Parts: sequence; C-alpha cells; structure tokens
Amino acid sequence: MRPPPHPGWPGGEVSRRDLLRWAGRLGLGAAAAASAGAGLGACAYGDDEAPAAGASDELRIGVVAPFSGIGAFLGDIVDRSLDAAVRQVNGTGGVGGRKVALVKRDTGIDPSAGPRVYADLAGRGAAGVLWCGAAGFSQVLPQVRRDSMPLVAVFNDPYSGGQLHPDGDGAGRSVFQVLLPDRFAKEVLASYAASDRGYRTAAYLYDSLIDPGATARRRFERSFRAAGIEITGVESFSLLDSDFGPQLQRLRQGRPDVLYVDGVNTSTAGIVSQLADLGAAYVDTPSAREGPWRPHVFGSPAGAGDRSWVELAGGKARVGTATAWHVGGLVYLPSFAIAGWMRRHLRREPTGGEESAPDALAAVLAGIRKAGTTDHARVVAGMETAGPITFASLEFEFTADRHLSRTPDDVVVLVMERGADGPVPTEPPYALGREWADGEAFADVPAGPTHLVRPTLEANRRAHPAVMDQVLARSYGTRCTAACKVH
Amino acid sequence: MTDVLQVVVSTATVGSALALVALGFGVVFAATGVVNFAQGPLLVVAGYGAYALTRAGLPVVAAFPLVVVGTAAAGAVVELVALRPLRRGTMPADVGAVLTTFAAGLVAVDLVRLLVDASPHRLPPLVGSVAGWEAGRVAGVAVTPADVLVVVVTLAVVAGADVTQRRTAAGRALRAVAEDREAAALVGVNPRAVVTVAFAAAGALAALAAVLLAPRSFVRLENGLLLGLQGFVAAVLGGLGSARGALAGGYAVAAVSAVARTASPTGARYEYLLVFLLFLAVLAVRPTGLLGERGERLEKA
Repeated sequence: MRPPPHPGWPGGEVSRRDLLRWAGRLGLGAAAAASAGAGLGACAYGDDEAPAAGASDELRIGVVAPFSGIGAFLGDIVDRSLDAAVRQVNGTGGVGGRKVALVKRDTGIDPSAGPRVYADLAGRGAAGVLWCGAAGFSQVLPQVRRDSMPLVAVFNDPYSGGQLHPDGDGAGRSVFQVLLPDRFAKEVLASYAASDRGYRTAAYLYDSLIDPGATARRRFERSFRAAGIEITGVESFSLLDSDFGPQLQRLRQGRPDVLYVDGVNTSTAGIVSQLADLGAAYVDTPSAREGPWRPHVFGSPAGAGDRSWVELAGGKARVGTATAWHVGGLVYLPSFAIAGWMRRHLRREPTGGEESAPDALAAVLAGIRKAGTTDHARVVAGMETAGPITFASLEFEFTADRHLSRTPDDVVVLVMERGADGPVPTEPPYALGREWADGEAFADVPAGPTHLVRPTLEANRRAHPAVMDQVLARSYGTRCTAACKVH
Repeated sequence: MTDVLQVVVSTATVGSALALVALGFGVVFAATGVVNFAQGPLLVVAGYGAYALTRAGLPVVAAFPLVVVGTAAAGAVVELVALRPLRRGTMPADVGAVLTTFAAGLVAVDLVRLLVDASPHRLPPLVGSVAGWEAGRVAGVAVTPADVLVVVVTLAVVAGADVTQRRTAAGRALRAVAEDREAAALVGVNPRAVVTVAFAAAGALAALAAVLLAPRSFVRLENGLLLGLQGFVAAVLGGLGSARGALAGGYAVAAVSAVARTASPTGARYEYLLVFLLFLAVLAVRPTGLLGERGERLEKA
C-alpha cells in the first residue's frame, strides 16, 4: 500500500526526479544568492566617497583594493597608508588648491566586479585610479585603454606578464606600475640561492587558483635554471587548501635545497607548519643542509613579505625564510616620510608595504600638476614627464619609455631573522639587526622580516647610495658591511 | 605505503571536520526539511569568537565552551530571523530558506568583519601536546595531537548523534516534527522548540568544527564559503539528515581531494571538479545519498 501523498511531494515518496529538481532549484537559488552577495560585496566600500556637489574643488582618485576577503590584509595596508598620505597632502595645501578625495571600491574575490567598479569610478569623474591588488585587473584593462585612464598598478604586476608599456601593449599606454615585479624577485632570489648560498636544487609549490595559467611557475623555472639550479619538483595547491601533506611528501623525495612557496600568507604559514610537522624544520646555516631534509624556504613577497605569516605559523615559523622586496620598502627608515605621517596622523607604526599606494598616488598627482588639468591623456603625459618624485619613500620616476618605477637594483633580499621563540642558535653565531635592540622599532615584535643586504648591496648602493649609507651606518638589518658574509 | 598513509591521514583529519559541518546541515534538515546556508558562516562566527576570546587573554581551552554556547545561540538566532518568519508567509519554506539563511550568513560574516577584523588568525590547538608529544611521523607521514583529536571527537559526536536520532525520545521528536508538525504537536511535542534546538545544535557543531580544524585552516572569513560548501556537498552526498551519512560524506569528499593531490602534482587544480563529479554521480544513482534513508519524507517547515 502506498503512503498517503504529502503536500509537498506528490505520491508521498521522493522520486529521483523530484530530488534532482529540488537540488537543482537549491543550486540555482544558491548561485543566484551567491551572485547577489558577490554583487553586494563588490559595491561601495566607499565610506570616503566625496560629496556629489562641488566636483571642481576636489580631485577624485579611485582606489580599488581587496578591502574584504582573503586579500583584506592588503586592503588594510592600502587604507591606512593612503589615509595618512591624503591627510598630509590636504594638510599642506592639496594640489593647486584642490583637496584630494579618495573614492574607494572593493571587488572582493570577484574578478567580474572589476569592470563594474571601474565604470563607477570613471562615472564619478576619477582623475586617476590606483589598482591595489584587487580582483578584476585584467578584466578592466580594455576599458582603461579605451578611456586612457591614468592607472597605477600598486599590487598588480602587468610587467611580469609582458603587458606594461613599452614592453607590451596589453595594458595600454596609460597604465603604470609601482609594484616590484615578480620577475625581478625570482631572478634575485635565484641568484641569491646559487651564488650566495651555493644551492644546487630547488622545488616549487604554487597556488594554482591565483596562478591558473602557471605563468609565475614558468618564471620560477626560467630564473632558477638560468642561475644553474636544477628543479627537482613542482607542485600546486589551491588557495583555500589546509592540507599540504601529499604535495610535501612528493617534493621531499627530491630533497631540494630550496623550497619556493608561491602563495599568500595563510598558505605560506600552513606549508611551513606542516613542513615542521614532517621534521623538516630548517635553519639558515650551512649545517642545516645535513639530515633528512631541511629545505631553505623562499616565499613570494605576497606570502612571506608581511609579518602576518609568522603570526599564523606561530612557533613553527623558522629563521631563515627568505623573500624579496625593494629598498623603498624599508619603511622604518627615518628618511622615508610615510612612517612619520602614519605616526602623526594615525598614531600607528608602519609594518611594511605602506609606501606603495602613497607613491602611486603621488605619481598621479604629479601628472595632474604637470598637466594642469585632469584630462586623462594629458595626465598620462604629465606622469611621464614629471621627473623624479620623492614622496612616501624612495625617489622614483616614470618616463615615456619606462612605466615601471622599480629597477632590478632596487631589490633586496629579506630574511626572517628571529623566530617566535627567540634567535635560533647558528654556527657561526651572528648578531641580530639593530632594529630588534631595546628601544628600537622592532623591540616588541616577536618576528618579522629584515633585510639581508649583503647579497644585493652593491646593486642597491649603485642605485641609492645615500639611502644605503644610512642603512649601513645605523646597522639596520644584519650587523654587516660589504666585507662580511653573514652565514 | 607513504602515499596510502598520507591519503588516510588527510582524509581522516579534513574529512572529520567536514563531517561535523555536514552533521550541522543534517540536524537542521532532519528537523525542518530545509537546508541552512548559514551553517558555513557559523564556522566563521565561532572561529573569530574563539580568536577574540584568546586575544583577550583567555586560554583556548577555557574559550572553547564559551564559543560552543555562543555559536549555538547564534544558530538559534538564525532560526528566529531566517526561518520562523517564513512560516507565517505563503512562500514555500524550503525555497525561501535558501535565500533567508544565506542572507543571515552574509550578515553574520559582515558583523564578524566589523566587530573583530577581516584578517586570518592563528588559534592555538586545544591539545598542543600529549605527554610531550607534539608531532609524530608514521612511515614518514606527520600526525599531530590536534589531528588525532579532531578524528576522535568527530567519531564520538557522530556516534552520539546517530544514537540520539534513532533510539531516544529526542530523536523521535525530531523525526516527528519533520514528518508532520501538527501531528507531532498533538502528541505533545513542541515543534517550535525542537526546531530551535536543532539550529542551536547546528551552531554548536559549527563551533566544534571551527576550533578543531583551526590548527590547519586557521581562522579566516573564507572558511565560511569553502568549508560550508564542502560540508553541504558532504551532507547531501552522505544523505541529508543522517548522522552516519554525514560521516560518510565528509570522508568521501576529503578522500577524493586527497587522492587527487596525491596522484598528481597538478591534482590540486582538479580536486574540486572531481568532488562535484562524484556528487553528481552519486545523486544520479542514489538521490537520497550514500546512506540516506530510502523513501524518507521531506517535510516542509
């Protein structure tokens, strides 16, 4: 006897067709809700949106950053650094008497939100746009090219993909870049591994969700092979993975001297933690290469350049993790303005990365000053002819033939010098950098990147002699001169 | 041998946490016939709640029960604001609940972002070491006390839920409300209380999953989407409403992911595709899931 019919389910039983139809309805509903949610999330972060009236008395600059989602730490850096910089600019007269007003937008993790957000900024009369690592950069380039919108890639890297003028036309003539290119970072780290450390083998572990086309992977292979290093393994993981056991097991078989981790801070911390669980803890001395497997971990600037990965890894973070950044990123140097602005206006200390967005802002404002107008094409020309700019940190310049503010001579290698439990004993022993001494900037910081200047010192001095003299005179970083080898 | 053991360990640890999330979906479904899409965001609420308490100085062991109670309360609030109003309207609850619970989840995550922050954080493990043992290796595969804890707790919780569902008055009340609210009320069951308790239990399960998995996955806003989606897939795969099904589904999802990554260096690119293919394949053959009960009625709330 069949059960009585149920109001919601004719026939009283759940047929396969009913369940699939119901699941499909749920799936569509969830997808619709997700799209609505993403759309809402991609809307205004904009609590700094300028008032509608009085467009002529302010300069609107669009800022697109990941203020939410997995890249939110970048959004935090951008938010506070630009806050301090804009207060500084407006407090000293603005630009031609006009105040700078930031219009901030968030694309979350949705690349399709990029064009929508850009259209919103362009519609609001943005004189320029700072694109700070937000999703949707590639998707927005056609519109940027069409509008000749002055756009500075702050935490995006069209240069390494061959898209930045004059090396390529993919980004268009109006796009500039202040981010240290990944290509420079990998080349310098490869050189450091081979020449300074004497390593012969390396493996690569990268985020296939962030790098679906494996372009960063190919860059790694080119750079390290060019340095004479054999690649023993390449593995991938997904951005939100929490288990890296299978990948590490496979990589361990090749016993690489270097393990290059290309991912964000959470992935770097997770990998380092699980590496420690495997007994592969590493220290930055030659003797660490004995034993079963103690790879020297190199992290991407996005994953290991910020202290947050150390906080996430806790006691499993180890001294010696290397990454690359640029001289202008030594934000605690007294001659770099950003630290003082943040202390004065926000009562905060910089932690790293705060120089980039303000320098990008300065470039756009310099272009507007030079052009005497906010006409996009003329602002772009103004940015190319404004000459050297010194604003938040290091002096830089754009020209018609150079839309990238960094050069290979700007690259420094950063090495985490002190672990969460204090300095790791090494043989021979070495002295911590001065910034960890009592009363100095990092005295209360359990761990963080510092800079190992020796491998890149000559090049850095060539490019920025006055700054590097200051670095060495005050012993920031290792207590080291050109003559000594730290490890 | 190492590869096989790595798959086993990866499956057991990640799968156990997914099973807890799936069980949370299942408990609510068993009582109401609706899918609570706020289950994933409740993981975020629990994780950041635990982080906030430990940041304030409370040891994680002391913070844990507070987080469980707090997230259970949050689960009850979800029922109050997202589901109960639907019963007064004309929209079928199973459809409306998709949107309202999803919206409640979005609000919850945004509140976390505003009240705590948006950054990922580390949470100390509930058990960092046992008699000095912090991490061991079995045939080269790392196993930590936190890994063992998540597996043991999950098995215990699922066993308890299964027994409760099948052999206790509370379990019968849950099934009665799902079958026929009015009839259940006539025999003395309070449907409203049963549903609220179900949502609270789901919240508690989310807290358990969040804290136990934190040593691996950290506390981050994205866990709501990822673990919530994977947990939902595991719940349906195993059989919505079945405690054993939640366990089977959790381990199935984790196993596919672990095998994909073990089998190939590029396996991480396809692991989620393979999980969804398995999901579709199982539902095509067995629509009620691996261990779902055949002919089970799905009562609208």
